[in-house]
Amino acid sequence: MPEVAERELNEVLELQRALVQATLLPGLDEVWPKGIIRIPKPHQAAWRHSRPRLLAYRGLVRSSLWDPIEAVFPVTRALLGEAAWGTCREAFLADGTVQSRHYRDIPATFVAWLAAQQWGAAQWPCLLQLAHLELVEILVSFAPDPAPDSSLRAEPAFDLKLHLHPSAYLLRYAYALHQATTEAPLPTETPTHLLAFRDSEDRYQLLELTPATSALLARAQHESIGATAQALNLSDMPGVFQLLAELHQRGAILGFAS
Amino acid sequence: MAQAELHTGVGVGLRRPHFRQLAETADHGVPFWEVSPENLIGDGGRDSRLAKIVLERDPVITHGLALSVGGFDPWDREYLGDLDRLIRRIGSPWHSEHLCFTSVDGSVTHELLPLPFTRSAARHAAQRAREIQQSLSVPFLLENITYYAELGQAAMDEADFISDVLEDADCGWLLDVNNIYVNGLNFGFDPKDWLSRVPLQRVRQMHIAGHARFDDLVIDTHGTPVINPVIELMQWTLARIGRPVPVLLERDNHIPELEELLAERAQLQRAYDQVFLLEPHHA
Repeated sequence: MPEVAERELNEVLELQRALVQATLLPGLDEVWPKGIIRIPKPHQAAWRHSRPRLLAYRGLVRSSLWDPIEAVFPVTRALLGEAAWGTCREAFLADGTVQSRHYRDIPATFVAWLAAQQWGAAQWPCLLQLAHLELVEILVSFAPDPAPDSSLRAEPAFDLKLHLHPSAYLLRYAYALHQATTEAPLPTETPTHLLAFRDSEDRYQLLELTPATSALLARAQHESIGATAQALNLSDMPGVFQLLAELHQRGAILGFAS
Repeated sequence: MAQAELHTGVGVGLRRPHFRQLAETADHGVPFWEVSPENLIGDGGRDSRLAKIVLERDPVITHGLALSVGGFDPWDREYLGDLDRLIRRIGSPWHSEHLCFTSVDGSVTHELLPLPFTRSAARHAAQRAREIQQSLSVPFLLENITYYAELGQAAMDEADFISDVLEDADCGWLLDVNNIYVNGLNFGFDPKDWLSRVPLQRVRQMHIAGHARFDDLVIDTHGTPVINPVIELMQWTLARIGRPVPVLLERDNHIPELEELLAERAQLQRAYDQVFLLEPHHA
């Protein structure tokens, strides 16, 4: 009897695997060829009978997994064009990559998948970076709010380090991705430094930085602003302080502390 | 706000497009909200802060989407811990999930997929429901789903399957009256006959929603107003249950302006009140 119970329970798992495969694998919109999906023998006749109705799940699951990607990556989609975008969708879905129960994580999963698979990298070298920048807007919007920290000061000083807001992303790309649009999705190949953050009104902001400012923001998180400026040969300290104070006022910098 | 008696009448699913308006007014007439923890845990930013205002001010019930109660993937203990902390923080009187599976071998589908109507699947789902119950500090409820096809060779029908799981898991029931109505249309059964065969004494909450027909299949879209036959089925079921369990209006697609949604809720509240011959309230 335990063997029967174990076999029947295993059949439940096999049926679940079969349904998910039937929804995710490419090329199964009309027919499900024999051998592609393994159905436990006691259930094969019922499966064949239910197959037209089971197809409804194919549309539902694929929409659930792909709709958030359609919504977040319009420029990436424009770069690939409809045919390649469709091929990309099929490859992504077939891999069954989504492992988070949080719907908001699906776009990040897509970018991680592009990176892991190097999908399209040969044909579109900027693809991964472009998708990443489109993802950043979501990451910034949903980033956790900072815990109150009374040690942070509002004004920068020589001996203080800066603390970026948890929603802020200091970005460096090989392309001018911020200029790419759905109408002109192919960016020029130009080293680009960007700062993405949520401003004090909770709006998404994307600033283009000079290499020096980018280096300042990166380094002054780990050593004092004065030491950073010296290391980077930034002699205009009033200008540095003014810039940092402005970024604090706009919400990119949380504050300054020793 | 943890007292279950606060959660009566017809509530509404709290959805992102209405966060700002609802954060700014407590005078909305909605007796309770329902939220999905998957859409709250780990979130930050404006929407999260606005939602928090509503959740800390008004009675709330939590309703999960992706625990995969009937699945086989191991539990994410960290998530279950976060879930219980959220439930306690916002004072939900219970937590519910769907009687279905949503993931297999770690691949999450974000869709409510049907379980085979077999004894093994029922025992397995009941065991998993008991495990979830052990990790939560409030009662755990299971919800009946819409299904569009039977998965494999059924050993029983849906009513028997749900009854088996609920009895075996010894848990409460979130009865979705629209799902029963839709399943009745898709599989050709009478919802009232169906409801006469199930343990209504286990019902702690109900769901009601709109649906739509696509070719020969009716889909539980949550994207249209509730139709009269479903409202009547809600009333019939409430009368049969014999006590005023809370009913939740679900709207997840084509979400209307708040005023329109609240007007639909008020209409449902009047229908709810008629069952118990109550003076109309929250209208």
